[in-house]
Amino acid sequence: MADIGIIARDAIARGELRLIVEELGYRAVPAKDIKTALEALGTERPKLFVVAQSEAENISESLLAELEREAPFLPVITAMRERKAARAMELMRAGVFEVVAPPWSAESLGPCLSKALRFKGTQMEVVSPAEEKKGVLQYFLLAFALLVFAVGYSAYDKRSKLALKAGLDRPVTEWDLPYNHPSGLAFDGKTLWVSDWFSQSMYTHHTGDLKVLRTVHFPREIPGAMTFAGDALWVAAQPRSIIKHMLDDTLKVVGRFKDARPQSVAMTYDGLYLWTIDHQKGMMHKRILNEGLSVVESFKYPGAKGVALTFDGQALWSLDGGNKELLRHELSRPARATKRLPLPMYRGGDWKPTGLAFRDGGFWTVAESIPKGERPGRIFWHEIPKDEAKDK
Amino acid sequence: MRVSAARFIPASVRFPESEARQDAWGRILELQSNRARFLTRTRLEKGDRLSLSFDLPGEPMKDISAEVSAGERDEDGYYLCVLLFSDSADRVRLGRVLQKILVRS
Repeated sequence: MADIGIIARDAIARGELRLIVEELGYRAVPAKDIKTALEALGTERPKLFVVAQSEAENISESLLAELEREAPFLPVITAMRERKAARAMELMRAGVFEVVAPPWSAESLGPCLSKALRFKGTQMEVVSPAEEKKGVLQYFLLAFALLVFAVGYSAYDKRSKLALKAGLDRPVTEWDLPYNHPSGLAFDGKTLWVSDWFSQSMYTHHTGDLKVLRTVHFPREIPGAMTFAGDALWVAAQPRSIIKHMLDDTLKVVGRFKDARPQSVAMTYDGLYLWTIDHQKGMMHKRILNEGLSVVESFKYPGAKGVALTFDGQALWSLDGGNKELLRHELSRPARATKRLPLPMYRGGDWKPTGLAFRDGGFWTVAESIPKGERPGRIFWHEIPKDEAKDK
Repeated sequence: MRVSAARFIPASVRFPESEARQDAWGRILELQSNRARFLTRTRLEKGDRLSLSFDLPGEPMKDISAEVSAGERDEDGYYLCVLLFSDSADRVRLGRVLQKILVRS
């Protein structure tokens, strides 16, 4: 849950903004002036500031000047007491992220907070001289490969990039799979399970080198999302069904049910309820472990296209295939994402994520290549940044 | 040739044909001499006519007539619209200013 700093001289305005921020699911850090707010910056680490001010006041500009030294990229939203487009323009030119006109409400402030927390600016990276040298070598080799391509060798294989990367002694964080159409992912605490819709099979993999430990063919189902729940493996399969498998050597089918809310493309179990996503309708469903997984509650999915779900022991996480992000959801209020972590490896458009699994410290995702299944499927490991893990 | 500004350009919006509508504001995500992609909290729909004012380096652009040619609400609740500049004189002037900026960049 993100902390939102509030600066308002007037106690009534401060209370009003605090209520709205808390209603929207954030934690409010109120302050009566800039000095108090900057003190809170060191202890509470708010993700942005909302400043209440009238047209004549310049609290936002002063705050921006102070933040220039302390936290230059922290967004500032100004809640104006009067609606003045000209003043709003001045503030935005000065660097204010957004200006909210009165009356202040969850409806008017909510989208601004959401946008400010998600809208990323220029990405910057510090490259050490050693890495820079290696980078030059990398580009040289890549240019050479392209030259080879230009004179007639048509098979420029993207694996060469991987080989280059491997040569830089970086930890391996992605692995090609020996099949092309992965459609679901689950972790049983020891091994990774991947379903493949084309071969209609379930593969278990070693978590270290991802070698295949076991393959089980499902002649009667096209497996997709899956999860472990109540000593069984639950699989959302086409056409529109839920299959319950015993966890024996052959994954014997012990139940085959019509899906009460098809088509489930994501699935996870929180120890009490089973959760699925129907991305066509953009809904998350909370379900009980009965025949067909009856729905007890449904929520609007707070992203573009939920494609996978997992549970980290405290909260739900979903993979938003539309915005290429991981979203964290409180069990009590899953319709609001309390954290969003970008997944840059999916930004290039080469991979379509289909599955998600959690282990302490990070996540695995599995993906099918774009165009569909032209190359082997791939598993990625995503480390959770330490500062992100802290405020879990 | 394209250049990127250091930050998004804020723009104010007036609705000269609808006095009941309040002035609004937003930011320009992309700008060409004949169109702009515009992000705002104000509800804008296809066919809406408006006047856009914004500052380009050294050149204020005031009351540029535009029509919303496409618009959609994003997942945050903002309206992302394509604005077509309807006045040819505005387009010529904007084109000249953009040309200057591109040459200097």
